[in-house]
Amino acid sequence: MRAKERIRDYFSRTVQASIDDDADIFDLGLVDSLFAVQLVAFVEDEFSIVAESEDLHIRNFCSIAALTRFVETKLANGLAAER
Amino acid sequence: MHAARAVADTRASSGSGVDRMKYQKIGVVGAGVMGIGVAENLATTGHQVIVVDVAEEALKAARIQIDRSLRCAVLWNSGAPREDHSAILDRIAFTTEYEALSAVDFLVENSTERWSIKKEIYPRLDRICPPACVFAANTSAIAISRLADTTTRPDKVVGMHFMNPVPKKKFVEVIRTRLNSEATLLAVKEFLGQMKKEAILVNDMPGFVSNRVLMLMINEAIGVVQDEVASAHDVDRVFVQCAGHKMGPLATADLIGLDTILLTLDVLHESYGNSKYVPCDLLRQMVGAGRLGRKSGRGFFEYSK
Repeated sequence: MRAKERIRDYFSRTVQASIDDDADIFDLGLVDSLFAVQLVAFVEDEFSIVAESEDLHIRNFCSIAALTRFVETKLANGLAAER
Repeated sequence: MHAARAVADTRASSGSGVDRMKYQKIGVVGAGVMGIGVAENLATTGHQVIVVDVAEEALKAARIQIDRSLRCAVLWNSGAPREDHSAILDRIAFTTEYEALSAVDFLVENSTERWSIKKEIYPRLDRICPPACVFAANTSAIAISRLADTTTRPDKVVGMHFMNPVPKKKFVEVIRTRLNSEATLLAVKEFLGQMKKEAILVNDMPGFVSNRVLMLMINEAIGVVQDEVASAHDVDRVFVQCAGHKMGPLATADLIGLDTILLTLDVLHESYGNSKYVPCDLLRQMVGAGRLGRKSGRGFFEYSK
């Protein structure tokens, strides 16, 4: 499954609501201290990446689309670093 | 100023805004959900923290979880302190050795809600910790007086019922016993002040105020699901949407941990001898199946690992 589908699947299982890819999850009021930790844990564990301090910015976590871009960039950078 | 003292003062004030804290070195027993939250809160407010747990794996997981929580703070709280999260984490030592608690100024005990476990821990702490050290039992339902009786310092054993997530909750249910001295209650107030928290003082009875009431509500909400009156989702929606609660009873149960709910109901049932505290079959089945709530990734709701 591609990154976007896996992220969509995560949201459908956890928030039990349909969310548009570009909808701002902060504006929707979905993000509190618990969900923020849970979301980062999901991203790190699901894609085997580490969100560094400079990555932990709302622009990377504000929507399904933003998260997908963030994950794909991290994965691509990881692959590039391995070469 | 003596060099060592200067270092201690620097550490105590870093990140906390508190220049001189009376209680600087804090022992935290138990690296479960609550112990982790207490340790994170203490480190963030500038304390040196020693976390003790018998399980090495629990300590490793605790370190990862605190690190993650500190890193994530910027996501949900734009006003979060910008202090390097690794500097905060460095204030916490993780160990399986109880002897590391020999010089702590204050101690918060967060072990599993089982009398058989706690009755072994308190005499041990009593032998190791300094005589002046106050023991705060972060317990769900076990009467504090019963724990105090296992030590030689019953006047210094108090209940300190933190709420989850600890760093986000400003108020703490503090349980005083008939044996507590005024000095102990003052120490508790000062200690919680250092953690940027305030106490709501109640008297000692099993379950105190919060869990004596809350456990009944949660158990009944589970009963409603068991009887197929409504789905878990709709049970919580009734409380959130209709009653204006911030979180429904079943999401609350998942947050606390269904295993802890079960143990707490068992303690209340044993303590009061009242069948209203008998846990629902569905709760027992879920705990038996390892569906413990947030901590296991799945309870009444899914949190996904």
